[in-house]
Amino acid sequence: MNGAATKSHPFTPGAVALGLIALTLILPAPRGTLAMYALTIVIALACGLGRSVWLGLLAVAPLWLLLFISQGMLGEGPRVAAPWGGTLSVAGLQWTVAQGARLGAIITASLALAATFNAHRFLQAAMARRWPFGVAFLIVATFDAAARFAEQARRLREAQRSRGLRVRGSIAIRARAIPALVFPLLLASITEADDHALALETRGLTLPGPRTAIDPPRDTLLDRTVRWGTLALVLFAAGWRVWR
Amino acid sequence: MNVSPRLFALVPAAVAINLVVGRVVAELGLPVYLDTLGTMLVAILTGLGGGLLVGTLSQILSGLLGGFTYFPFTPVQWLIALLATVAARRGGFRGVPSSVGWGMTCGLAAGLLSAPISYFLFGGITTPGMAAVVTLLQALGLANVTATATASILSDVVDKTAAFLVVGTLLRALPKRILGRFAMAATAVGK
Amino acid sequence: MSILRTQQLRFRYPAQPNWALDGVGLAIRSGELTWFTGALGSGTSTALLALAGLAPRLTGGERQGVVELEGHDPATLNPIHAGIAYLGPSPALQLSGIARTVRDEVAVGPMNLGWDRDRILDSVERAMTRVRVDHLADRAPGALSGGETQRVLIAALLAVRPSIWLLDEPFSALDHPSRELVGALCVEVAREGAAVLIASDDADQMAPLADRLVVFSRGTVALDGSAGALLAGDALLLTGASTTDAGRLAAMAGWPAPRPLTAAALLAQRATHQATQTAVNRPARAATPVSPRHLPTSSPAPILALEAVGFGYDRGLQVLRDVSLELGASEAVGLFGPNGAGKSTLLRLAMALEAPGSGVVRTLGRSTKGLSPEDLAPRVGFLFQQPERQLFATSVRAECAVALQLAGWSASRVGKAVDGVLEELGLSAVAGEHPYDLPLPSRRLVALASILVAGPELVLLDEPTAGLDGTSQERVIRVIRQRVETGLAALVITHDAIFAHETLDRALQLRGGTLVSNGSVRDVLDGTIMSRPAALAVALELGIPAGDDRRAQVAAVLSTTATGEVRP
Repeated sequence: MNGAATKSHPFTPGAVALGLIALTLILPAPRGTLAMYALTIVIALACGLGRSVWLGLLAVAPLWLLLFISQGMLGEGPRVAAPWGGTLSVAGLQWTVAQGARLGAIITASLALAATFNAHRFLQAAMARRWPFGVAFLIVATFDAAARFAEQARRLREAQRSRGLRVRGSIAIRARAIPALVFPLLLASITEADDHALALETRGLTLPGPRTAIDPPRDTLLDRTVRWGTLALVLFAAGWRVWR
Repeated sequence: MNVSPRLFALVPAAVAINLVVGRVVAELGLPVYLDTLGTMLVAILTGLGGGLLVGTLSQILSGLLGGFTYFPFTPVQWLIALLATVAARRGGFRGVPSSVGWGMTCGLAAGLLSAPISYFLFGGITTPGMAAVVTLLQALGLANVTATATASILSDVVDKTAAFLVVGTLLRALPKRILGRFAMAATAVGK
Repeated sequence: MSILRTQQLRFRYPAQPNWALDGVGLAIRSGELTWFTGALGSGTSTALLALAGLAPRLTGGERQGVVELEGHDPATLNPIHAGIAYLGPSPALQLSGIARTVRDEVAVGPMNLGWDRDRILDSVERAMTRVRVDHLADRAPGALSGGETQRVLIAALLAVRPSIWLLDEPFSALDHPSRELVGALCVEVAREGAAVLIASDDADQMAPLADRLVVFSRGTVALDGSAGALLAGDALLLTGASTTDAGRLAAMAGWPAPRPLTAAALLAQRATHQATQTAVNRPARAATPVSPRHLPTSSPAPILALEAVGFGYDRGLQVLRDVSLELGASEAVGLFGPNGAGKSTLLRLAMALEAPGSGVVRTLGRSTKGLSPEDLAPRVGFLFQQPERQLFATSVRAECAVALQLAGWSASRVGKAVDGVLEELGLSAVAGEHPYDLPLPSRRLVALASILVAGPELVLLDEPTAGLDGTSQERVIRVIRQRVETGLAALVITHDAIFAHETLDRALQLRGGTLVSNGSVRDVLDGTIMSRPAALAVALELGIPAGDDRRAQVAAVLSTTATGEVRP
């Protein structure tokens, strides 16, 4: 199943990730959330997204530690003995496990989705489906803008440092670097928007009406099954939870 | 969809600004986020609608990049867009004292909105930085709910005050040709 | 048949009291290539926007008078439906932002028009082939060079088969071979029936292409006629517009109108006036001072030295191999070579933005190991590409003061230095203006001023004249030469043949990361990689040696031969 996520129709990984997140929130803690975290990891690994699992672990580990301290050690309510001599709050421990698993699942699912998300394939899929172009455009253009501005910020930092700007030292020195490092980006975003708007208009990106997807991604039976199946699962879980 | 081309160009740039400035500031190691400047600017320059759009898109983008755990905080972005617009209409960016004043107000409001989200959904454990503060306050004796509320409000007041200061300085420093394109910018700085 | 007309057209930008266009009446014809030129701020770019219907609809502002495209006002039409193609002056800002590959980028227009998939693919392939960007078809648009981006954008316009082309400085980022290609394409498109309008300051590029020249001055049409006739005359120069390189040389030599427009024509004209004398037997030239720069420098230690430097980025791509070079005071050296040869990397190493993988880089005598760029500032200045992107102060004066304030200079010292550099670069009149209120060339001059203000000993310049109009280019040439003569060391990357000829003493050629040549600038100005400036062409023909072959010196030589009299 390696690479299955990237070869699938762009809407499918999104549906799966959102489904996993929804289930994590719906199912009862702590067994439900632990199960979802495990399931998320399994699915990610099966799709060859082990790196996302690892990044997710790195991101959530400090939160687990702080959860443990905040809720487990410093929590309220009945307590139980800890191996090292102190006491731990029972409710706090349960919350730590449940919430920790929840955070882990959501972060891992998000990172896995990000690893497979290809903005351009998404746009082609949206155009093929005749979705409102504006929405899809904004999402794709935002990714592009983020990459451009990140590059610009990097060059700006170099240019300002070459003019003598100090970026290390006391808080005052570092705070004083903010105008030089931030203002040009803000100004550029406003002034360049006008030039960019001219281009958008003259290249037809603001036209209403149907557009042609020249490379629409294939939507296979498996894709549709997975998407509808995920939706069904979420609805089922929600219903089950409500009627319990 | 009849969105103006200018908005089509400005919104993605503003979302990118939210993200990138946040990173620039983090790289400098300063205790603020400054990750809502794009939202505020578009709200002030083009109106509330644009600001709401930028705020929402920012949450989606940062969700994709770092995890959708923070998606529930989207209403906070909306509130910031709203307050930035209100402040602009009242000329709140005309000087440092008024920027600071409106910034603290926005920070307080944002903090009061994000505190319950933070407490009920996360028990105060959201970002490592905030979580550390909450845990520290608890270790000092506060209950989890109080610690969460305090940390939320404090960090938002500091961050939004700094943000309003930066935006105010920028607005007052805008070149004539931009002030001419955006009527609200002139009002925001009291012209 | 005129397809686009204006009558008494006036336009001003929002919040600007002055009219950018102040009563323009034009009839543009299909099948013709019309060239708009004029001094900075004369209204050529604005005219294109107004004709496209984009001003005031997208730019804001106020319009009076009539603009008519086959009976309709273009401002009420969507440009792409009206068959109008517009290309703005900054290539990078024109990319759609939604294309994964160059092919997708070129397909954006047809895609938005809802054409059939096959029709789109066919049109895209043909457009890419015609502009010779088919080898880039699968590359990401964001990773292209400025010149490649510009060509891709032209392909994108071609793909929708417009009937009216409005191009603002379409050659600005192109290298010499690409300019010929794109120029020929513009002529072909006009011959095929489209109306092509190009706003450009580059007379050498446009003169052979244009059927008609319209010269703007202060928002009105000052001259309108044949390019050849207008460029040769005085009226054009009086408006502040630029003529060809050879035409300018002839003007400097005091030749009367009509002046020759190419080096060949100039030499021919000189020959006919010089029936009795041969170049070899001519009496001593009018005395031209030998530039003090060519005397051996008394400073022994090199300002910049690379010793067997190697450098590769993390991915293992070796960019520089065993490069050794030295640069002393009062020396201006150019770096030449194909894209990716390592030129920018060399500049970055000198500024301590990167550390060498092997060997040593010594800037101002110190090894750059462990140094940061802020340590080298302000004694070393670095002019990046698109330098206007680093401006953030609210006035030109304040922007120039930034580096000095960061270096801790006293207020009075700062004031004097800023006044001086503004004077040098002709920016005194706009000292109090917000940089973003100035046109792009002026913003670039401000960026240059901000690094020269501290009186650096070494400057590293990456394309210092890119995007500049003729007058601004002159200022930069003059300032750099003057400073080099008084001790500045300069390492420069440039595609500007005239700048190279007028300011550089030596040319370093890099290929594949190694230094393949360290010699005369004349070697690179051979007309293949870079064009050959008129002054150089004349100098070579007349046997004037290197060092005495700058424009002013050659003009002095030429001024004695126009009519046989010595001119003062």
